[in-house]
Amino acid sequence: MKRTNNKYLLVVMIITIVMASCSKIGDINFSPNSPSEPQTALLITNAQRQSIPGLIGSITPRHYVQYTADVIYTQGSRYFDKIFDYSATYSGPLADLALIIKLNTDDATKSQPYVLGGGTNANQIASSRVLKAFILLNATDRWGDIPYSEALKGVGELTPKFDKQQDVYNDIFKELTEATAQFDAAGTLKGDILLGNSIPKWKKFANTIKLVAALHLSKIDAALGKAKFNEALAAGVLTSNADNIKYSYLLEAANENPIYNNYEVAKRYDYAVSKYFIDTLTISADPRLPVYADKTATGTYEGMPYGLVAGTGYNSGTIAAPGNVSLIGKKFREQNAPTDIYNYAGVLFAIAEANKLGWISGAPDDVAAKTAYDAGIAASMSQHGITSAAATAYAAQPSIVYNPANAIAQIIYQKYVANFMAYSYETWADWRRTNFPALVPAPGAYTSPKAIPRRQQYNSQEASLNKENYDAVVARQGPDELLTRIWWDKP
Amino acid sequence: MRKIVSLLPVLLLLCTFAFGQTRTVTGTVKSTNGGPIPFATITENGTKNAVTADANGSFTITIKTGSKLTISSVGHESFVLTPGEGSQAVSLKETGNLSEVVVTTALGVSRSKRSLGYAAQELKGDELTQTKQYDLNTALAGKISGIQVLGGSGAKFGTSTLRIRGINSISGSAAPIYVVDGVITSAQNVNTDDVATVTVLKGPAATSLYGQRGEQGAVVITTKKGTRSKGVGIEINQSTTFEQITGLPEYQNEYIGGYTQNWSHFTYNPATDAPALAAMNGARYIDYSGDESWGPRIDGLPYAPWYSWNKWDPDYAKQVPLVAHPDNVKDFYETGAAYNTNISISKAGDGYNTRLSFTNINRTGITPNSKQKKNYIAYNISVNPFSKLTISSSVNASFTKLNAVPDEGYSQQTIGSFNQWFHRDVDMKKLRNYKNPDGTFTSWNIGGPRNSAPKYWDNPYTEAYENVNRSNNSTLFGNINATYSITKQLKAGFNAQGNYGSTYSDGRVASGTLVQANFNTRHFRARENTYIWDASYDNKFGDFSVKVAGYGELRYQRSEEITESTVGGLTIPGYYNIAASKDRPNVTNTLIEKQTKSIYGYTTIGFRNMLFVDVNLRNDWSSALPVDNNSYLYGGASASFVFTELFKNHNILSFGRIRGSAGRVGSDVDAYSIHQVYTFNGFYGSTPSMTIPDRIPNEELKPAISHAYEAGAELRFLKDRIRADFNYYDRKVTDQIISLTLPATTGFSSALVNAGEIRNHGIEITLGGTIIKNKNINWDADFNFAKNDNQINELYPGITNFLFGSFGFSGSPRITANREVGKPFGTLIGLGFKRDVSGNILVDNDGYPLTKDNVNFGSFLPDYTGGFTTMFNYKGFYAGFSMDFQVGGKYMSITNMFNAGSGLAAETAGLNENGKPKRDDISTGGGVLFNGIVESTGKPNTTYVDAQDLYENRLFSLWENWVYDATYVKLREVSIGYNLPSKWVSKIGGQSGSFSIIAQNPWLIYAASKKIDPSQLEDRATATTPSTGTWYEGGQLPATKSLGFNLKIMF
Repeated sequence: MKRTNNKYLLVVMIITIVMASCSKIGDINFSPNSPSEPQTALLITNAQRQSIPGLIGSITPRHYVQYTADVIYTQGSRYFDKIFDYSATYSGPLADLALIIKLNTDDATKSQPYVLGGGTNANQIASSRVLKAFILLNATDRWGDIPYSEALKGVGELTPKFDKQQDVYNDIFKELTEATAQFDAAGTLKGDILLGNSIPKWKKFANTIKLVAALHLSKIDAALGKAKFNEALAAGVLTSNADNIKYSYLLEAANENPIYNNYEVAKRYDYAVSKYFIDTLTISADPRLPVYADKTATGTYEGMPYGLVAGTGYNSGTIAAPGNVSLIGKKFREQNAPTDIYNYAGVLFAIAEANKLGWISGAPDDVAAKTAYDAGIAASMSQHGITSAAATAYAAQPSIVYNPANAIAQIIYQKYVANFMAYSYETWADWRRTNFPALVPAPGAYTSPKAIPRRQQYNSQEASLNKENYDAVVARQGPDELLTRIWWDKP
Repeated sequence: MRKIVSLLPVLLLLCTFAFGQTRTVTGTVKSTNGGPIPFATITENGTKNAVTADANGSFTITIKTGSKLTISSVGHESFVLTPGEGSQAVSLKETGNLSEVVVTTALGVSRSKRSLGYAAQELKGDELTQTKQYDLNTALAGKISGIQVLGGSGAKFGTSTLRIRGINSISGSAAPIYVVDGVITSAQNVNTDDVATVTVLKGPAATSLYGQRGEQGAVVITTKKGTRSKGVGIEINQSTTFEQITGLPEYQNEYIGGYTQNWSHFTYNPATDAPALAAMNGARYIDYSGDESWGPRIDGLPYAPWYSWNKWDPDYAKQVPLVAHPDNVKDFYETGAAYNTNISISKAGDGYNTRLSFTNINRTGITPNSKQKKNYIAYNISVNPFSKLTISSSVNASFTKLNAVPDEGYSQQTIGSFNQWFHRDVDMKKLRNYKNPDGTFTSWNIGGPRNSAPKYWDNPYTEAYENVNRSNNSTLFGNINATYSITKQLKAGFNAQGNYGSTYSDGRVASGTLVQANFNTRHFRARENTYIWDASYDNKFGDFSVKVAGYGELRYQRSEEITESTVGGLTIPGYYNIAASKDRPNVTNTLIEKQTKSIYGYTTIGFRNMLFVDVNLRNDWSSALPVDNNSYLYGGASASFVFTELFKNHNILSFGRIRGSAGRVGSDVDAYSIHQVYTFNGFYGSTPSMTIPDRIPNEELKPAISHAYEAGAELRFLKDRIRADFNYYDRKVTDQIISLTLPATTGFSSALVNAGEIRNHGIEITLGGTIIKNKNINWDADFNFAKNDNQINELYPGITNFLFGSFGFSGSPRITANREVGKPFGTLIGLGFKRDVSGNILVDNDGYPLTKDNVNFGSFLPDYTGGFTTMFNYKGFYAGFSMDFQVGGKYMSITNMFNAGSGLAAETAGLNENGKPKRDDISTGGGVLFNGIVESTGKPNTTYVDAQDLYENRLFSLWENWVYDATYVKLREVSIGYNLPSKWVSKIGGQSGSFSIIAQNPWLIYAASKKIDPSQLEDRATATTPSTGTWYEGGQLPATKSLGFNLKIMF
């Protein structure tokens, strides 16, 4: 009996000892697979790399403004796509930018080596605010009212409301003004693949964004637009082609130009230069045409008719064996071909328009407008390697020479041509604002009535995950449709 | 800790010298048919001295010299033995009373079924291997109530998932654990030939002893053990089956490839075209680059097919008559063959039993070049080195090699694209020549007469033979177990378990195909070690029987993974190596470690073999949870009352019992979920980048706990000829750990939180009967049925819905699977038809359907599931089949959408109500009439619309049109066999043998939509990521059936 008791005791002991050996098992729960410290220099790189190419490389606005047209599957040029999703922008680059700002603001982190590795606090914050403003300006110009003041707060606000576009614009102006002032010229910035860590360039970028955004208000709030435009101009915008803000793609698959990918990697050749664009350049004997487009198999420049129900009879061929429509020019489709965000010519055309609107001297000023207009054409020609003789000959044509009676149409048209395959959401904004160039909607348009889109639809998640706010914005802004006009877009 | 482990055997050894003046009797208990009877009770007459035989019927008992033994076992007549010399062989006669069935429960404990307070259905190995089904889960289809097999096409060599009693977690994870002789492994590692029994444990009361991993149920498997047999104990089993596709969509065979019905005509250009093409001047040709079939009408006249432009083709520069190729898709698929050979050697003797089994499976699939080779080795042994100690071990190894297993899903270069993007006029024979002498590849989808490069699709044979994925997988799992009887009632044991897997896989994309050339590899290695100490006490006190057992467990899991992929193409075509990467290759390595410590135990008290009460408790500590919150306690209690024990007359109601249970189970999260980390996100040139992950981690996370209740009754009538079992369960899971979907404008797409409540309740019924039973004939039939109701009661505060999944095309509305408060899990919501109050579809003045956003199409979970099995024996002949069915549940089909959208489907051609071709111009009487009510007039629609515009554009992403009811009835298995007469078998030295003809998935008897077999829906599950629910298919491989034979001989 005694022995038995001892055996029970033994079993109990074993179990107890085994259990007592439970040390701090949570220690193995730190991932060796991911860094645990946020390196802000790397976050800056990521925020730029994950945001800008998507905004400036999108084919959608290029179709809207008829730089390009689908060849076989034409849905893309018939406004078939209605829903556009900003989710990845908010949870990707915008979340990174919010984190950079937070890490550089919080006392606990702002002096940590992993934060200071991205440059001085002020420069990191200011450049992040500028990029954030750029991204959100793109968003509000596409969707209208967007989640803004309550966005990017994580679990702090699970259902961010949609702010009115007017409020978004006001805050973007404020952000750009404050950020420009915040830059610390003596300080550093790291990981900036966009502007090479150059503070002066960041200031010019910020002011140019403001200049562009101000002009968007030409119809809805000219007074505010005028004030902000002049503020930007005074603070310093692009002053030469050397200042052009562009995104550089690289000679590697991970960072290659999307047109290169479509043409030469995927070999899809989904789109060619549109007939409208080629015809309009042909009529004015534009010397930029050989830069902008390839010749067809028969040695001519032929555009793809825009927005047909079916592309039967047309084929884009390949670079090696061209088809019967012109492919996008070599300069824009090489693996590392850069894409302009804002170029000097575009700024000059904006100045020309502002002069014509009387925003600069207080009254319409055709002389100053003409000067800027001519300089814009010259800047674009120079940017694309056109000889000054050819440029002058082009500019001397009666239809091109500045005409006060037709100035806005001319200015916007020249801006349109100068910005071929550049940041085309901006070109689309110009078209919505001015109705220039006078584009004809796709004959096979899905929109009813057949018309070019004036905004883009919110993603399906907003209606399911953020229903109350979604319903509110639809009630306020109008139907969540492509043809609903956003706040600044007035007929 | 280590010290104790080494001390333990020493202590155990010391104990063995404590006895004397007695004799030790060993023996084996078997049934009259020669098989072992596990767990018989051997009692020394006139004393309380008793032991239990092991699972193989072996026992060892120490008795006073001269004592007699009584051997008893449930379901058998007792036998009194006067022990002689040597090992005792005892045969017990069956009583023929099913009331004493023994089943394997959690932790491999064998229990008499009558004592269980929860539903547990057990199948014998024979019932699984009736048709030599390779996939364990598929073999269970229709045979167990309350389970749903989420299958994939046989073309992928079977990787199905089980869903038990609906979806019990808001996160959607649904897969049970598979426990083979105590070791948790995956279903793919189970060789059905080695399975002795399978028990499916369905609720927390049954599974809580397995801890959190048994949260979704447990499939408990015992493998075959060595047995004593008349012969040498060798069994050979060979089966050969042939597999074919079933059910392709119905295609139209009136119109060919292209985008419009207009022909293009070739104009020969002597300056640039090859001289041979002069013969083609004026030839009509289609737009080969449009990968749809809205082309010209088939008219038998000459035309230029795609290959007429290929200078290496024998038919270069020749026109051929335009005829239909109705079987072109079917012609691509081959007849798969599977050869399965199993040899096992089994032996048992005094103090040992052992079994070695080897299985070789060699399969070719239904798609060209797809192969599977698999070998299983299973070995187990149990020995009693001395009377009180039993040491047993089982080791299972499997080696699998896969080649060119086709992929499913949309947006890949898959075989599934046949039904979505194809030309109906393609002659499949012509595509077999997929590579030209100059290394370029052919395709039906070329750029044009002067551009033979593939446009959107490679030749399917290029996919099968050039862009090949391979994998090589080895697994090894097993255990070593030592049990020592300290006293007659008290046992202590130690069990070490291991599960090891390693996989190498690679994939290649050839240079010159559509997708950029690529080579990628994955090396994956996982191991799991578990150590369990246990002690149990088992005794009888008068009318009461008591069993108490306690366990301590330590589990360590580790996985290592390296993935590599070339970037930017290959520097040398055909050099499939990471070193060939043009740009910096993508390389990731991942190490995951997790540790869980547990103590658990149970007690069972029985009263007069009539009333049983069970209590179990478990506490886990998980390394994946926050240190302050890493401990969680749970358990279950159950009772069973055999009320017929109170009756004297058992003539009508031969057996009856009621049972009830309550259980609670806790769970944790994956390793590394709680601390904030950052994601390295690649390079811009040489500049590295990093991003904040889209999921918000949570350092305050608590373990999740679920509660379940169930009650049931088991009744048998007329000497058990009629058997019925009813079960009701109600399970609520609260405060779950969920990855809450957030609007991305929060800056994150999800957050890890404790929240929510989900409830599943339902009934399960099994009905069985022995319809005929006499000397020559035995006919059994079993039917089972289950109904599960699922509802999400609560999500995170302020959140009423979050997505489970979504599918859609860029720019178009998505269809979503939702988790919405107050609704069942997985309600499908998307763009639907606008309807009037009576439910009629409304159309606009042009005759097109009007649409409505956010229409709820219902949940993908079925309303009812069930099955029917029957087995008929007449002398040496036997025949059996099994069926399963599902009622309700929705799924969305991309295949059907594009099948119609691309003009491939039969419905897109033919004549309309006016007797005119649907594809003719509306102005000439063509077009399609979309049935509905015109919204503006309230009258039935009479306006015809253009067929192509309707199917290609208007119905695109109009999800309601592509959501189907998954209801089906399917004949899963048929076997017809004959037990070979022993005089035949003995000629080759055998003892017995059988031959049978077997069929798997022979007949989809009914399906709401027969275009897609809902029982073989595309499944994106992998061994490591179980399917959470198939609610859509994006590019379904065809379902398959197989037919073959099986020969079994025992020596």
